[in-house]
Amino acid sequence: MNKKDFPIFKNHPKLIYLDSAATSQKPRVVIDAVKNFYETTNAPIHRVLYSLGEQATKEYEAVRKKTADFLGARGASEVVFVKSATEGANLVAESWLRDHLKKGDEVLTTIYEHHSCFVPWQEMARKKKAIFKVGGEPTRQTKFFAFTLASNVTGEIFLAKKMICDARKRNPQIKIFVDAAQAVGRVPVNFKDLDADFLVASGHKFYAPTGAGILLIKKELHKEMNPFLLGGGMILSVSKEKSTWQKAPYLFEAGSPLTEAVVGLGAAIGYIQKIGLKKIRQHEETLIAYALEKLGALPSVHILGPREIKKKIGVISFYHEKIHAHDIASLLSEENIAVRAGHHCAMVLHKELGISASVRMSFSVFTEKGDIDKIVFALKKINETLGI
Amino acid sequence: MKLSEFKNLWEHTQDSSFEGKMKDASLIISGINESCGDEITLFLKLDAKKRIVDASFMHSGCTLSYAGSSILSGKVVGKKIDEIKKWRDADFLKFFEMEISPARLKCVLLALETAKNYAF
Repeated sequence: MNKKDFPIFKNHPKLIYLDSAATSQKPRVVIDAVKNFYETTNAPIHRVLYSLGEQATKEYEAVRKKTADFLGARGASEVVFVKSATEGANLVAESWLRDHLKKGDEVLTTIYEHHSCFVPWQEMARKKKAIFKVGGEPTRQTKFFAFTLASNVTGEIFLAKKMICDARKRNPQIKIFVDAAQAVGRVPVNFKDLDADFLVASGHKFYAPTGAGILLIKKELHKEMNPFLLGGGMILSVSKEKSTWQKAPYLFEAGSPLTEAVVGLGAAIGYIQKIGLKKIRQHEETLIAYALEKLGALPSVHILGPREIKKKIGVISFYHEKIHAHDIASLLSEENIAVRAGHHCAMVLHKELGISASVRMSFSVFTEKGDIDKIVFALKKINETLGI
Repeated sequence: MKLSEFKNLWEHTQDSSFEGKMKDASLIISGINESCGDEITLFLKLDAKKRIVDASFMHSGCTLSYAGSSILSGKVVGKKIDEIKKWRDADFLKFFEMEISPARLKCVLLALETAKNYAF
């Protein structure tokens, strides 16, 4: 519906881009915001005494406030800018889990997780001799529960609020991490309303530049967390004997930040807000319904995950009974169709499903029904040519 | 990868005379492409001079790695096992008679890399 907003399609008019779950294309407003920042405001931020640096700091911090409002954080201090959602998860593993996990504690996650919301917990549990459990309900022994709000493979939306509420009833001390990398920009996400302790989002999947990762940390936990990276930016004082840190969120943002990516993130959030999440969701639901109907009618093609439109984000994966996912993606590439093929960083889920790989198509505001027609036509052509 | 080229490979994979387990193999070598999950096992039968007299394979994965396994099985017969180590990727790729995109090279070369990893 908004293809004209994305310059990539001007340069590649035949491109059918169905890989937004990996990274979205960037609208003109985001590209302009980054360009404009470099041309008019570029300077180091924080601890700068000249006006250009003050202006750059102001822009960076304004995006923190905008992000807090967009994701329902209790305030800007709950927003930590990280390189990626993966870095956010690793930060939580190192800055909270390392100091709180004890031998015999349970860390719980699900089979649906992206490796970035699986491996950091698995590794930390191993190092701390804790129990790493995949699947099942949290119990009194569960110290940390991490799960995705929406699967990057099946597109399934999980009832996060209910899951968190139930988990807290069983164990009021439990800490909960939500991976919202696929959900943000597609469905409303509200950190406070969810009552999660940690949440990550990936700006580049919702129109922001790469490097614009978001980690939300509940305010109450700030005092019990240590920094992940040490060095510039997060320091309060350094002496030969001892160093002290700034308060959160600066405590977690060591080193020169990816300022222009954050500025782009601000523009991306503005872009989403201008269209409206309600309208974006309606658009996705229309595409999901259309794709499920068209793909579902193809012989030898099997769609993964739920078929109920309301239970899905615009991420649809499928496998072909006779042709490997990588072969399909290569053949679709000849038709200028960009899809993802493989395990999508979810090897555990694929193993559980009994397949080694799947083809994933994912939608965005620029996706049109015609794009789905083209992939379906290409898949039909493959079937017909091979006599399937 | 053009559909017409793929069709040739695909048809090849429907009926490869080299596919199957070899009961009296001298060497059984397995290879896996960790990034995509393709797995192959090569069975090589050697004579006293370590010349390959028969070859077969078992495969799980994409058409390109299947075709690579099948083509390799056909080309190694009559060659000495040590000769395979000297085969260059470019020489092997010529057998495909089509352009292989960089992302798929690991698929078609899986069989050759597996054969080169043989151990006595």
